[in-house]
Amino acid sequence: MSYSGIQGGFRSGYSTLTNILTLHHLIEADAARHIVFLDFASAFDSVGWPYLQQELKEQGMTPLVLQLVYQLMYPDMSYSLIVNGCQSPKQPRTCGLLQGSPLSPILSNRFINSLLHSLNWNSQPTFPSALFFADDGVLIAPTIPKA
Amino acid sequence: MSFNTPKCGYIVTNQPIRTYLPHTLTLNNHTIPHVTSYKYLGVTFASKGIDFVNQGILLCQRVESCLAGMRWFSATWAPQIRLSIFKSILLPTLEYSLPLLYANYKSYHKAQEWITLTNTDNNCLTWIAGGNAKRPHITAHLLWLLPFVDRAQHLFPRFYLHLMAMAPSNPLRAILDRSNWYSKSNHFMPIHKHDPLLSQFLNPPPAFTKHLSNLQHTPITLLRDTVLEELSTTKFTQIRSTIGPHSSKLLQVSMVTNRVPGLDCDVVLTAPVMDQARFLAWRRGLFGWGRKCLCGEHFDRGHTKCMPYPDPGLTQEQQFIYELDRYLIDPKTKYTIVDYLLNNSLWNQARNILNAWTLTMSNQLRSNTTHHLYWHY
Repeated sequence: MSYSGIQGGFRSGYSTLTNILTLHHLIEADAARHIVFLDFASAFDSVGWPYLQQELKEQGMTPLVLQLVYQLMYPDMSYSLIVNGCQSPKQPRTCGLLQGSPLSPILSNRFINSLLHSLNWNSQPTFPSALFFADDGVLIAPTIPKA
Repeated sequence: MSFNTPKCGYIVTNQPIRTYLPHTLTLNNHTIPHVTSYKYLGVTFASKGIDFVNQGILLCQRVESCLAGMRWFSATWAPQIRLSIFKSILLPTLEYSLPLLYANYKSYHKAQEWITLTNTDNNCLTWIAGGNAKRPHITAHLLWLLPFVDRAQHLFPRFYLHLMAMAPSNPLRAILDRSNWYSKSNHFMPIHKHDPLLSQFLNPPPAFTKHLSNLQHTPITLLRDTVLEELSTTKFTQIRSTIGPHSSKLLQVSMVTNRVPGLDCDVVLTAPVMDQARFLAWRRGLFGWGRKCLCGEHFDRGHTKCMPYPDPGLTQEQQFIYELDRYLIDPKTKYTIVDYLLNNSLWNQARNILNAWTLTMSNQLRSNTTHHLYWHY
């Protein structure tokens, strides 16, 4: 599955300014009457392996590559807290993407990709119904039908 | 992944708030707050789109707070360090979203945010020069920086290059194609009143003139090289002309040989740390502070006839070149032995002469005035 066109984060040929200019144009053109700005809570830290694995599988990643990703990102990772000089027992890390890893942005985009495809499925060619830049998202609607 | 619903925001656009009751939207059983403005990707959006005035204020606040923090402990920092900080931290902060602000400025020439941004840029230059340095255009000239508006003017074609290299799947490309921008239609488009901001990006800026006839089929790499070369030439001309109309009596030190290759600024920023601010002040024309000498003339950088100084110990060849420089350079610019020494990185000699001159000035003024004066840079 290809990346959704409305995801601009970590991709060449996109930038924050193109997203900003797009949104401004949609407002000026009256194609974005209702705008919802989304804020994900700890986006990178809450990506769990079971969900990521499922997403990657659905997007056609082979088991061998999946195993490789898992080996690179998750095993033998643990953390502990130090409070007033006392160190807690080590806890295994079961979710979250590694900060600084070149693989993390790709996995994050893959993880969110299905959601973006769903959000933009019925959009007009020139008027996207959502815009994302990594985890900064905005939903756009020209009208909202009354309930 | 979960949403932080209280931090989400819902805006109804192009509707007066008083006449419109927004829907109640919920996410995970939490109501999304209805807001009048929201900061998305570092830019403030309101019901009419980008809030340019607030955006200008936001950028200025970020830079000013950074400056305020650094002022506390930057007293001993040499101008070279300050310039590096300016280029790596303050300038990128101030220039974020600048192509869009400049496009808005092109549409409305009296854009309010532009004044605040220019003032903040000037404050940064003052900080680099140290103390309460005035005339920021001269500092900018020495540091090889363009005036703020010109800098924005240079960023604009760079952003246009970025637009031309946009991914085909980028929604903005579809919007621009639908608006028949020059890269698709090969025709200049008029400014649309309903969307003046986007209209500014429909036509290529002047730096693209060489390729206008075949813009669509020119490889982006070739286009980038040509445009960047064009911008570099323009920058050189613009910087050289920066101080010309303002201060014809100032020394033009923008000659390439007098600039530092890596830092691209005047050579005095490679002087020993303790002397940099002083030498930069000299370059900026600060000498004498406008006081009168015993001979009746004002002290300034060219007032050397009452100033005895130690022999700089130049070789015959150096002396010849200095005399030749004096002959070739416009006498109005007051080219002195100190400038020659600075141009040739002879820091010790330059420092000795400035010390001697400062002492002479102090002695003369002390005998001439009743109040105390401190000569420092």
